[in-house]
Amino acid sequence: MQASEGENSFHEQILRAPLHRTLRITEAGLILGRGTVLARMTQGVPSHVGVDGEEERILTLLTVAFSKSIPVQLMGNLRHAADQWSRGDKCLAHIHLAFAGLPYVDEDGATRLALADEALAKGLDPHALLKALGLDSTPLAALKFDPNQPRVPAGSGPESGRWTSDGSGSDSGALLQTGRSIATGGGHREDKPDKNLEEERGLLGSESEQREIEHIHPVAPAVVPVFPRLRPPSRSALIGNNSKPAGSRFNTDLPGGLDEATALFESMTQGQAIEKDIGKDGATMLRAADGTQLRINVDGSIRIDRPIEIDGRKQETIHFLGK
Amino acid sequence: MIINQLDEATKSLVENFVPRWTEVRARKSRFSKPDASTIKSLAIMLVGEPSLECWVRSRDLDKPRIEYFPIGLECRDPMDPDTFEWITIARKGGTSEFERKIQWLFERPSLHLLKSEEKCADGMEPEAQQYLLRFYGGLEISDPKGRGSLPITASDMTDFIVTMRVTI
Repeated sequence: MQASEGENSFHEQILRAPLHRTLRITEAGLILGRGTVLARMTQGVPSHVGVDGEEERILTLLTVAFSKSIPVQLMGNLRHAADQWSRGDKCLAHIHLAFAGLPYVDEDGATRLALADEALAKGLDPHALLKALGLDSTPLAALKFDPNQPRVPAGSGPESGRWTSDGSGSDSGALLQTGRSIATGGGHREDKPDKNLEEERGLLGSESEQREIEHIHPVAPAVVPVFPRLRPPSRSALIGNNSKPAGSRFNTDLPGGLDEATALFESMTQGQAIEKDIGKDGATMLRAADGTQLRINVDGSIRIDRPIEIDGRKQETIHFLGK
Repeated sequence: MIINQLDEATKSLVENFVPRWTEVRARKSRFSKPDASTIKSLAIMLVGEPSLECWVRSRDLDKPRIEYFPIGLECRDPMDPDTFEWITIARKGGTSEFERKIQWLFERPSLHLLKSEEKCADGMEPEAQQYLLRFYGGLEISDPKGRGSLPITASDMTDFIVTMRVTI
């Protein structure tokens, strides 16, 4: 395919932009790669990263960038990040972004991301885009999953347990959706797949067939989540969830195991000297100069203790709950 | 609601322990001496036959799901191998000011556990259940003749250190 002058200009523009290998929040919004804006910063006081309503687009763009399925749960990290940003805690916002656990985006991924963004802006359906690239669109369908949708009650024959669109669990076969808990509808144009595939490839610009085949290969997942370099997080905010006050401490928890705990600890203690100790009970303790401590107990439980100043309490103990 | 976590095994150990110590050591990790009467470290070892090691233990409660930190006590054979580095801070018959203050420790001191209380809750909501957690937070070694006492207390703020403070 001959690239048009406009396409060349667009590609040059992409390559001139600085490369952000990890998710970042800037004045433009949530960005990745060569400045591709995943969610725009809304104007107002306070400003807010407009994640809500953009879920399908964001998941699509990230799926294309990393050439692999992105779990819908990632949207939770992005919402937490957006909330912290609105509260003025940029550090915590970036910690939540880091908790998304995405690998670094490479040059190719950044280019794919920018091209996919352009394609979506031109009106291409996200499902169709993913299909054209041979990528899994199930997470997009999962965005529409409603766990409260009624099902046909047990004992109703072959339809038992299937989703129904009314609350009665009635015997109206016309109301049944077949067999899957996650609806797979959306904008697939399956009546003319080959033609649309070519059109969709064209919308992506200068992708050669060989390049596209390369992109379909999944990016190897990072062993350890990549955390951006951060200043120590604010002592006036908790990082973990489900806070439970106890004495001078808050016990909180976070999902994840050793990889997530280690990555968070490294992120919080950038530039500090780290001492290692073995406790009497065999626990391995890594301690930073500011008192932040990672404990790996012999029973496999993992905690981070960090100094805070909240309601007279001095410490947050973050319990990692495992995968 | 009161939650008693007054560990029976620790209580029994202290009630039955017969001190015959000759030396006091502190683990080199986190060792500090903030003033003439106070020693802080990851662990304190009262060396004798048997030895008694004091450190900060970590305990988990299921409900409310919290972690708390009582004092850990363990009888040890002084001949047992130990990979940790220790600093000797006082000996029986020692003549430094600190050693003179605690010579009674090497006679027949009495031991008793110190109770700690912590208020905790199973959430942040106003209706969250409140608890009062009771556990052994320290060991006090004292001279029956009143020459002094030596409380060893466990703390997790913001490190897991025991503090030994000589009082006269």
